Amino acid sequence: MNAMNTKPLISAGIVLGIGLGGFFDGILFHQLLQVHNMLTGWLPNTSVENVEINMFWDGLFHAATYLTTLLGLWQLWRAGGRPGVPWNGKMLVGAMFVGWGLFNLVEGIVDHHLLNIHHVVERYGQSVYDYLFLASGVVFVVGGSLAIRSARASL
Amino acid sequence: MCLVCNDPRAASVRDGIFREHFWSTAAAVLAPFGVLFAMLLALHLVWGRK
Repeated sequence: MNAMNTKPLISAGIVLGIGLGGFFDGILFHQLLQVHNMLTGWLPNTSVENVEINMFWDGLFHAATYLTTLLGLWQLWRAGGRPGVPWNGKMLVGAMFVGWGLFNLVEGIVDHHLLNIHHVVERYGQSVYDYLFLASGVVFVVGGSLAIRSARASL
Repeated sequence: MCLVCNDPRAASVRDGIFREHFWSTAAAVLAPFGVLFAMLLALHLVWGRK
């Protein structure tokens, strides 16, 4: 075992992963693929008014991911200046995948299954894509955790 | 009439979302972040500050 303090780096990575995972969702699904927007489960994009309303709530979502990413960057900055905290890329990327996976799991359960404010592919409603989204969350959390464990062992 | 919640007080969908139900809609949109940060805070408290 070693005496290095890995918690600040892992914490920063998880928060960064949540923020960047949110950006990935917003940029890929909302903007590039346009398979859903924030409230399309309630207000499908069948009129300009609905598109405008969805765009506003997409903006609020992106504001939250932006603030989360800033918080993660601040944590990373602090971790980099602390003695005894390893500067390990594998551990950071692993923690970021844990954060991304947590985002997919929580956002999927809350938005797609509990509140039904949107679904991954809105035209199908609740579909296999919603479950694939949750599965990606599990894979990212498990894969990221394994990477962290492997990085810890090599310190 | 708000088509989201069938609230007759709202003049339109926009009125319903932005006036009558702004905060409840904002709470729904931000709910995942609230859950995630509550989880991280709980982990932080259990895991320790060091």
